Amino acid sequence: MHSSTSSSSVWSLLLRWDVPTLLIPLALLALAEVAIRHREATVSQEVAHLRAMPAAVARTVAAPTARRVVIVGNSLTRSGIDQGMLLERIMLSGASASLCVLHPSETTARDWYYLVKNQVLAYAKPPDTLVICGTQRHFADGGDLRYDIFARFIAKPADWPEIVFDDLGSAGGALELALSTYSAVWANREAVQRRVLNRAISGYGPLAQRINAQQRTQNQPADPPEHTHKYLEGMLALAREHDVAVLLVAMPVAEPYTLSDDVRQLADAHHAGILDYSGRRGYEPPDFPDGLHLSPAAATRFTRDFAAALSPLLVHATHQTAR
Amino acid sequence: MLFHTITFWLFFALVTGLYFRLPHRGQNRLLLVASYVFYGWWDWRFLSLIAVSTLVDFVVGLRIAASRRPAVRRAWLCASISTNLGLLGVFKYYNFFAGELAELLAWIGLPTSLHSLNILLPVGISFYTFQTLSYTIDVYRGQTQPTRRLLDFGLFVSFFPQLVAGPIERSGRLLPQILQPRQVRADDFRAGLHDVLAGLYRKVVIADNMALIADTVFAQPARDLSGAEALIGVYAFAFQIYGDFSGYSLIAKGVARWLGFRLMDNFNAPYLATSPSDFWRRWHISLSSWLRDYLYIPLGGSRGSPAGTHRNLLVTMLLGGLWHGANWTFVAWGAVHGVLLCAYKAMAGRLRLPRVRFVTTALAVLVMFHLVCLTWLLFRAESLAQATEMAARMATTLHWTPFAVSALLLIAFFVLPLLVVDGHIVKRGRPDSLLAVAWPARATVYSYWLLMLVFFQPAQSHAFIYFQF
Repeated sequence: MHSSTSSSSVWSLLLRWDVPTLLIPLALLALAEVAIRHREATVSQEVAHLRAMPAAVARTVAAPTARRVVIVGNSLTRSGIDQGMLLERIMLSGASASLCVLHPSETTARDWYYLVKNQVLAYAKPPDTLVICGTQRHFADGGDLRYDIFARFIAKPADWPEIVFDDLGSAGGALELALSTYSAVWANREAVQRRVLNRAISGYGPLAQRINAQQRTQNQPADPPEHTHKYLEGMLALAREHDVAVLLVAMPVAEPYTLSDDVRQLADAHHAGILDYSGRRGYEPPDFPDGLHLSPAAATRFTRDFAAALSPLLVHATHQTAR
Repeated sequence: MLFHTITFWLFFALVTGLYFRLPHRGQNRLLLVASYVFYGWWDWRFLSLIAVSTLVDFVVGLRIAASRRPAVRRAWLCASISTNLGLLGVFKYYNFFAGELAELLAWIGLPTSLHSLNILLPVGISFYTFQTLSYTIDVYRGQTQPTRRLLDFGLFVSFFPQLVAGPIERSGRLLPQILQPRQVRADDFRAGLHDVLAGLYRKVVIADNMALIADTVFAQPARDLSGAEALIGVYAFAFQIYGDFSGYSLIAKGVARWLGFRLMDNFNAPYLATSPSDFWRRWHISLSSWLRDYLYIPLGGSRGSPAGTHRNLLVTMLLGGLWHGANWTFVAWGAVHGVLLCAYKAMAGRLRLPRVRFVTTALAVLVMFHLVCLTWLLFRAESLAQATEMAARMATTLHWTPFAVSALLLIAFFVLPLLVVDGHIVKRGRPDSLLAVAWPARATVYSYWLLMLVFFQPAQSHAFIYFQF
């Protein structure tokens, strides 16, 4: 009698403080955490790619080919370069090469710096060639950080002090990093959202594209600040330290842009090549259905052009290695 | 320091950690310091304004109570009104009226160049000036005893949960809670938890997602929109501003409750209102009641002739619109609400609708919601011209494009559960109706809110709309 009375009074106390009401949603979140961790690769194609990046780099650097090429970029690279076709064309040109393309969406030089540092150059025998693809905006510092991708798949906790103090400068940023690193729910919430809305809302894809285009325009600063390129410089310096040849590719987009003198000077100083499509070079606005990404037909042409530009560098190196 | 940021919750955790270790007086001092830190976080330069408003009204309150001579009491009241409205006038309205006056003079052939002030609008100035004004007016009317404790009065003016966007509290409600020792009990924790969760859900999930749609539509020239797209933009804004403002008020209420304070309800399912009068009993209740008690009733209220009542309503709503901002769109917004209230007052007794209660109620709710949406078009548009063009598109080319259809479905996805909760509020007759249901049902709703907060917050957060007022 006494123990049931005391347990019912404990239960009453818990109810008064709404503890059960709070525990249920927290338990559901915990369940979601377990479920997403278990099935993370199936959350979205992007997450599957992010999880597969380390293995792709490992396979490339371990390949017995003469040249091992890692291409780093974002969705412009994903839509613009047909990896299979690129490799085929390189092989046809006489080069012996293996390659992988790393293209996490909405990433810029900041993300790529840590990606290169933590995954691409983390091997005793790193790749021979690093290709970095983006536009002037992506090569410059700043811009929004996608904590979910960055913290969970690119950066390591050892990188946090550098990122928080040198770049983010806020408690909120630090907490986002921590949450995204250790919580599969937090890191994948945007992917889950997209998946649910794509299924629940007819025509969600085009709607989201139109909204995103408006947000990009709205968030553009009226007077763009002077660009710095510390992360690009960091990548070039790291590559040079590891004796890795670098090629910068200024990707074509519908609106021509100018590759800054800073970028050219940095490339020059670090003996990096530049493949410059900033002026579009034969690609017209209709080739970019959303103003940014190449259409499949235009991507085929671009891959051919890119292979034609890249192959001689690899063939030359292949023959040098053969000697 | 926005309520839905980590920075605020770290700040609140620090404040709370110290708060419960202190005696009553110490708690008030801590809250005063915390409130000034909170406000100074926006811009420390404006702390002097809130300090000036506090000092002036503290002295005015004591002087009014100390004198029995009506002329002296009136003079002190005028000093308070002049100071507070003067602050508002300079920081909020000077450039607007200077610009309009210059245009008017130029139009009548007297071109002139009036110097414009390059000043920022201090966050929350419309709220705290009205709050302190209510104190001095209540002291003048003998409805409130003035306090002799400057620091406690300073806390009344600057109490951080409701400082920058309300609710606008009356001295008769908030000051006694400051002056008396407080206790935080289990019920306060429960109620605070409900309000904070509900508020974060409304702000982060509803308002910020609706903002994406509203911004996309209102950024387009009206001629590039179909009528349905314009309508969707207005619907989205209607729920953006509701989620944003009611969310802020709820978080403020919840945070205050965790500190032992009870703030007033500021919203009560306004989009389920059945008439203009009903809407203003449910929307921004602290402002509408302030305007009623300190403007409408002193003007005469509804005590005189119908024409006088209509005049009082229109003046009150025009000034209520102007309170929101220095733009003719806000004045027009207030004017339309004034016209709706007048029309309703004139017609209410004469309308005979079929006695099918649910149908007439549903119809009334639908009509009232769309009338309110019409006013939101004025509120959100950048100019009267844009509002007019969008209204014209809605009236003439109601073509349902794929964008409009998808956006409507997206709005429904987010908003329908909110309206279900609001329906429950109306049925139970209390804004915190969920606190009265069995805990499993409440846990279900909290689970929905928490999962939506985690998975459905947009990448880009928006500032609270009412911070600009």
